[in-house]
Amino acid sequence: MGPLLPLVSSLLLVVGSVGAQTGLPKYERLLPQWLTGIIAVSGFLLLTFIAFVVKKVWCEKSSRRRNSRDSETAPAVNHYDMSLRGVSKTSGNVQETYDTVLDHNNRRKSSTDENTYEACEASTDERRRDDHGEYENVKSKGHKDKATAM
Amino acid sequence: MENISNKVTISNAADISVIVGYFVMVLGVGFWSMFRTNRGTVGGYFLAGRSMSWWPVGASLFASNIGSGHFVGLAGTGAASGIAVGGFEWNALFTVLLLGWLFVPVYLTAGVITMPEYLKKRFGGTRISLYLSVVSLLLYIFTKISVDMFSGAVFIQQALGWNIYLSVIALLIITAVYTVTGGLAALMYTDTVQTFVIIAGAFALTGFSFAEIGGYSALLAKYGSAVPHNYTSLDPQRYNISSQCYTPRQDAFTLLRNPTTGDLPWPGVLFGISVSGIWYWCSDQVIVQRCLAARSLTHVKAGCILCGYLKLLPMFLMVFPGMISRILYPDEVGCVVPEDCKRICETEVGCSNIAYPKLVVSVMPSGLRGLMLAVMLAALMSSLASIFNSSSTLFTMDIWTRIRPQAFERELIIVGRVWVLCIVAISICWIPVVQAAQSGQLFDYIQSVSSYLSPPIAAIFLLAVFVKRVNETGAFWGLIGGLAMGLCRMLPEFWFGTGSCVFPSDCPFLLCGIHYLHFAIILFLCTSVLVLIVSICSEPIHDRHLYRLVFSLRHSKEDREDLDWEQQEHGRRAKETERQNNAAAVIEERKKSVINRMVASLCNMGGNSEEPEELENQEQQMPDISEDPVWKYTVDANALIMMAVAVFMWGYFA
Repeated sequence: MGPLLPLVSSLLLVVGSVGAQTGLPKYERLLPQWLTGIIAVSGFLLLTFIAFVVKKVWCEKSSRRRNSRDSETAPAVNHYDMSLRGVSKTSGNVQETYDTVLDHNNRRKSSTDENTYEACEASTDERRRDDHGEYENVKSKGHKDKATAM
Repeated sequence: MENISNKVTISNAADISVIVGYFVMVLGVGFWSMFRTNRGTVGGYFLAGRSMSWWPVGASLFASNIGSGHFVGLAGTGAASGIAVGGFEWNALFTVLLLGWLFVPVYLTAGVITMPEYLKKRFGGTRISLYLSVVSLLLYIFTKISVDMFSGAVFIQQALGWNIYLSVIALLIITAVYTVTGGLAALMYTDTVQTFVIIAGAFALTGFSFAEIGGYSALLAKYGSAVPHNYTSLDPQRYNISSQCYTPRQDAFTLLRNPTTGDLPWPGVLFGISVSGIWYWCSDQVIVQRCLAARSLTHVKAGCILCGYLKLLPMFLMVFPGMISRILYPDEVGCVVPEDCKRICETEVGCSNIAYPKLVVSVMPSGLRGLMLAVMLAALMSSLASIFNSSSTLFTMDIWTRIRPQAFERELIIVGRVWVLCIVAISICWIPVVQAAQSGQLFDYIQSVSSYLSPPIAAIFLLAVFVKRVNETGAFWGLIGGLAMGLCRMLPEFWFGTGSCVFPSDCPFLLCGIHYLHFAIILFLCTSVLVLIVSICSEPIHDRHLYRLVFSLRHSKEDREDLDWEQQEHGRRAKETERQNNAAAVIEERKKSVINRMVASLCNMGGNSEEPEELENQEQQMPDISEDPVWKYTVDANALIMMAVAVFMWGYFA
């Protein structure tokens, strides 16, 4: 019993100190670290691809909608212009009313279309510039005709 | 004191020559850049003439952000609790892309110089911009400036033993010299130099530290057992030390920790840091000003990507060395008994802040200690200079123009320079306050104060840019409500004290129980809801006041009726009367003394007569946010790659 007591107590001490050192169990990882990294990247690329596809589909839909609306309004403007050229008015008046028609169209377009516009304008910027070009061509043609009529 | 033996005086030739060479290089670049841009105009002085290319923009973003507070704070918190603090840096990778792609296009087309000016144009009225200017200036002084100076002071005291006041005053004077004369251009070019110095030195230190412990696997193995030898209480009547106070955390090597028991819970790390990040990166004057100085939108985006890649580094250059420092010196860096800690670093709470300086002193060979000192000086000076310049921009363009609307450009630039000197004086007077309030967890302090005060501002900016319906009443009451809520949390916490593991704070759970990152998310959501509700209940702002001020209208070409046109008219009329009054005085100015002329050339104040047309011209040259399609796709692809790298890093260390 004599030598056993110090032995047991020293054994208990050693066990106790080992236990104190390790303490709580070490943080266990289910997957190796590089694997979690790769999974995260693939998930991210998948999400990006889906977002890209959705944006493409949405933009096509909005541009189709805008093209159909443009073809509605453009003939209306041309018709108005030709009827004005028929009736001789002072150039100032014609300019003003012409401008209000343009303005009205612009505002209508921007208020209804802007939500889709801002997401898609990267691809359709040129188309918008072309739209303005159309209006400007019509406008200048109108002026030239007025000049020759006078 | 035990640390006297660890102090090394920089006395050998190699160290001194490195430091002298560093100062010569920085001042040289500062003076060279003075001749590159015209600093006589507001645009030239405050915005570097809008001519910077992508690499100074990116480097300046990084150097303005990384201050000595990062070295001391990241390393210290890394030593104390592991790698999760690196999440603050890696979160910025995504926020900086938000800045370049979503916010800067709007700021550029709006044609503003300061953020309060943007809010003034967007909402009208003056109270919101005044609130933002005042809060920004206060936040600069109490968080950024004081923390950077405190960290610089810790480093100087620990590693060099120099007198605090003399060294800080000398540093501030050198910084002020090239800030005051050179303006933003000088800052951005010197920031590029500082970035190289910071990265080179930090890489050297990291290399030596890893060599000292035997590599990354040794770090993983040994960190868990880095306990100090003294951990029994010396005064059991007053306090007892539980084992969790001195044992390294079990989740030390994970970024995403338990949401309730972790010290940085993962919802907070993912979303709470983003909220503060939106304030810091997307709406704060210091960062946005650097983007506004770029040559074109593509350069801004490329600069943001460069900054993002550089922000990958602090985890490896500062957090890991901090943990290595704890492994090498567990009794000093990891001390837990309050009397021990007081003896080692003069503060009872803990000595994790000395982790980085201790490494510099002990691990670096004698030739490279000068380099590390240069690194710390680079970080300190670049951040302080940026803050000085931006705060002077804020004060000059927002507060001074309100006091004296008739001020011409020349007066504005002089006021800007004088304000830098004033704020240098305030910073010097703030040193003893910062020393007295030494707390153990430096980085925690900055982040928690930002989390209580910045979410309302982040919410306002996010809503201002993306939601047209938000108007002035909504924004103002949202800001006031958010401020009240933030103060309700901040003041009790400061009153009761943050406490430490050994002496926990007795702040009631209701007030201080929620983690500050979760509180940031809650505050952000509450402010947004309040803003939206009040806005919907009041009148909307018509589109004609909002062209090029919101994201959806950033490409519109229509003329905008500025909501602050009254103030602009008032200013114009005041300038006209001033000019008429001064017509007689112009003749007197022809006879100038030699000294006057020399000072004028140094500060590039050319031209006696102010041309009003010059001011109008500048306003009409609206920055153009169109992009060359080829470069646009290149830059977008690069951003995607950077995000993939960031996601991989997060996944690897999660």
